[in-house]
Amino acid sequence: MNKIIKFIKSLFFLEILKGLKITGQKLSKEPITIQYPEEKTPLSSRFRGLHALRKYPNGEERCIGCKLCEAVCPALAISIDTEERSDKTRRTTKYEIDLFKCIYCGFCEEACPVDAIVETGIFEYHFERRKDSVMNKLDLLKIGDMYEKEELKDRERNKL
Amino acid sequence: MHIYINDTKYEVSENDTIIQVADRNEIHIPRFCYHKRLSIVASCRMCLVDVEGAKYPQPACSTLVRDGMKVNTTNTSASQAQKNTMEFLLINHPLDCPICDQAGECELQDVSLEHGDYKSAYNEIKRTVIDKDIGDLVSTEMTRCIHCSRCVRFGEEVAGIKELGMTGRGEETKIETFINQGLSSQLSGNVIDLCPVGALNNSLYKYSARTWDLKQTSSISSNDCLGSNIFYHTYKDEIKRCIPKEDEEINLSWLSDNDRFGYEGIKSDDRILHPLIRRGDNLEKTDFNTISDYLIESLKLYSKKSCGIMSAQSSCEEMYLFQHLLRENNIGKIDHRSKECDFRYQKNFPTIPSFDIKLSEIKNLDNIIIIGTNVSKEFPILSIYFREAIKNNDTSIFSFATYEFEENFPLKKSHVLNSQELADCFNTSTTETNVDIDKTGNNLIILGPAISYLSNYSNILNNISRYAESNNMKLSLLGDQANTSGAWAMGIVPHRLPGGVAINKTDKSGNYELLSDTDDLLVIYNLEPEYDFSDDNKILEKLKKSKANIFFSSYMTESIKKYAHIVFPLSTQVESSGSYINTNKKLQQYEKIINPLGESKDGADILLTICNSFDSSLTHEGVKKSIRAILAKINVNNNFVQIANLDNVKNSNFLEKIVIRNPNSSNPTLRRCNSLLNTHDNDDYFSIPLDKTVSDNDKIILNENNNKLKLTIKQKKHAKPINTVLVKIGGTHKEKIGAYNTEVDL
Ligand code: SF4
Ligand code: SF4
Ligand code: SF4
Ligand code: FES
Repeated sequence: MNKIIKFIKSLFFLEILKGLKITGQKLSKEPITIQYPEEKTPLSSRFRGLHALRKYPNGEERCIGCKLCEAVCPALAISIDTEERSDKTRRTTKYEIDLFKCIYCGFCEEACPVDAIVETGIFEYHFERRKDSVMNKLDLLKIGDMYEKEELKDRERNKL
Repeated sequence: MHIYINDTKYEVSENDTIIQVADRNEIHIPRFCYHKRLSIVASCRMCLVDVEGAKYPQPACSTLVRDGMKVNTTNTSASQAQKNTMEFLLINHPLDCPICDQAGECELQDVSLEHGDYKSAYNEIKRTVIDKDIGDLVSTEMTRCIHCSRCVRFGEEVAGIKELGMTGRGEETKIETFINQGLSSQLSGNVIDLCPVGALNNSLYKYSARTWDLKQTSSISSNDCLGSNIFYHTYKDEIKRCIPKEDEEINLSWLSDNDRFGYEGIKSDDRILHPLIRRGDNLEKTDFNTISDYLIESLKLYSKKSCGIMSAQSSCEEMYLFQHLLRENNIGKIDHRSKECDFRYQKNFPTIPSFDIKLSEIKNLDNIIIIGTNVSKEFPILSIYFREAIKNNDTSIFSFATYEFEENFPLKKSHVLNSQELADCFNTSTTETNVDIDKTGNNLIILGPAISYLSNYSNILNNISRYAESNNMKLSLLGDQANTSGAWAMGIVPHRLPGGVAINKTDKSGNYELLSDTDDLLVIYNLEPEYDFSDDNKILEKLKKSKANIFFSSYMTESIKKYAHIVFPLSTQVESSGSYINTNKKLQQYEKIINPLGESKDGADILLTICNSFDSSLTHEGVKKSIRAILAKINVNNNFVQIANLDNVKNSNFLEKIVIRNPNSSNPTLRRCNSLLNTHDNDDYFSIPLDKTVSDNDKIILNENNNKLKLTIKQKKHAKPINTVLVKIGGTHKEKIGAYNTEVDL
């Protein structure tokens, strides 16, 4: 019995007509294609892009070298060395993220007890030399400086 | 007798506490104040467990077991009690885990994960405590302290020096040093391990790594002859810290500061990183082949007037190969006793100098006579055993030494004598000896390393041996270095082959002198001429004259720079593998912990390659096997050194100079550990001339042959011995000390 019904349906191209119905509906609507890079889609405030290290408003780096982000990173992309700075606080001497290894899971951001490492909305970047993929502490702090305002805005929006 | 814990039946004995039974059977009960080697105070209340029949939960650390007792460690009553304790503890504890060095191995952190609440009902201000500066080794973060008092009890019960104490009550309770001073005990580092939280931290390790990143490798201490078992923790091929490895036979749960912090020196700036050869006035980089050829050639050329002197800190493997290399080339003058000057005893010396009884048997002794060593400074681990003996058996301890010092255990009597008096004091041929102890008991005489520096060492040894034998006492000898026993066993002495086999030549042991007849070639292995020889003037003089000076060394010194013809860069103990024979004749292996710095190499590798050039059958495995075979054959007990017709060498009317052994700089690596040198009493040197009218801070000049030594008097509390100047040998003095024990003019 099933076989017969199937045969009849295929005879009249029923499935195709169903599909064409959707096409017809969409024909009259405005297209959603975006002309990247002239146009851009809106980003979620929780977007996980390029990393940055933040500072406190007084200019002191936030990171306390606890190595939790390094420990949590599933891709082993973060590598940190620490020392006791002259003012007796714990600080990093080396903070590196290999962006080729990073899978942008955002765990580091979540693990950080002082909101130092964050993933910004930046997703358009490239490297010209292979070793450039390893971001060091200075790079990350610089990005942090540049994107602090956006970061604060995102945080505001993220509040429940 | 048996009890039930969580419904399982366990055999127990009468005096067990619940926590002991649980620990034996690996049932976890949280605890802070309880530690198996400290007394029980039951003050933290973390170990509360539910005991059937008891109205309230009971502390497992102090509750004795009863037959048929039913204990529950996990039911609601127990876990509610633990939760409540935790809540109170966390009231004042800072949220420091991310920067705290204890995190990851913190007992408080573990328990709060288990029993802690996510919210606190406490909204008041948290307590903060100002940190104390208690020295270069232990850093403090006192706000984290939970007042378990382990550190306080350690000082009172184990180390014997009350350095930390608890002051104030309630909120005001604080751990403080009593008189605002740093820790000075040689065991002070142990409070770092004891502190269950991050209040007392390791200064060298501070903030440099996290516990979960560390790799743990076991090793053997290279700083004293007890051979403590240790763990090194490394991260990225760097040693981050050192902690004790439990060993019931040797160091229990403790570690001396030298062992704990003694690795600091390996990073010193003056490490030798390349093979060096002399070109004109300078030492220049070269390769191993060049200097190996140079060495072999010099051995052939100068074999008649030459000698090889080796540090007794070297491994058995190095020693075996070293003597093999030299003896194959007909060089018989091989020695490790660079700090000694009287060798008349050597023919009669036991095969291995050793500790005659197991350390754990010390607690059964009735009397102990310690001669010439400040145990709590030089062998801190041993002092723990002595304290236990006093507690356990009311043992009387007598001390005979050449200078006054304090011990961390009570001395029944302490005698301060000069070298002549020391020999006389045990002379059995005079009717009355000075030692008044009960001779019938279970007695032990311990001879410290500094005695061997004296110029009448043989007389002292002879007298003491006779004394010990006639009074039926055991005699124990403590080595100067980690492997002194190994050096004797491996034939690093001129008159014996490995295994103590005597070389039967016309043995004129009486006239033996280390540096006589060595005008052509000196091979110096892991020793610093400035600090490691009984007479620095003499060795420097020799080096100046000799035709070839070959050094194996990890560190550059002035004299190596000046006199060496070739230098083999040695890796330090942590960078090589090998074995030590400890004072109990226990052969202990250690492995490489980190890779050698620069081009430096394991001494055993260097020596083997050289040996292989004329004897290709030798392998590392073969050497290890021989060492084991040698050791198995040696039958120690310190058969006593008795020498007939020994002359007295001393005339006690002269002013005598005696050096004080400084345990914090007894080997080249320790000499470079700045934090150790800063913390302990390591004045360059101090001196106490007596029955001469000098007062404190006077400057004096000692004349001895042609050496002049300028000293500033520090009278301190020392008042004895007579006719003696005491000079402390440290690793940092710039002036030449001259002979260790000699006559001087003021
Ligand atoms: S970025 Fe945050 S998590 Fe990572 S080490 Fe620094 S403080 Fe710790
Ligand atoms: S002592 Fe323990 S609980 Fe306290 S901050 Fe350190 S790791 Fe955290
Ligand atoms: S400093 Fe550490 S060991 Fe001492 S009482 Fe405080 S928590 Fe306990
Ligand atoms: S461990 Fe039992 S009360 Fe502290």
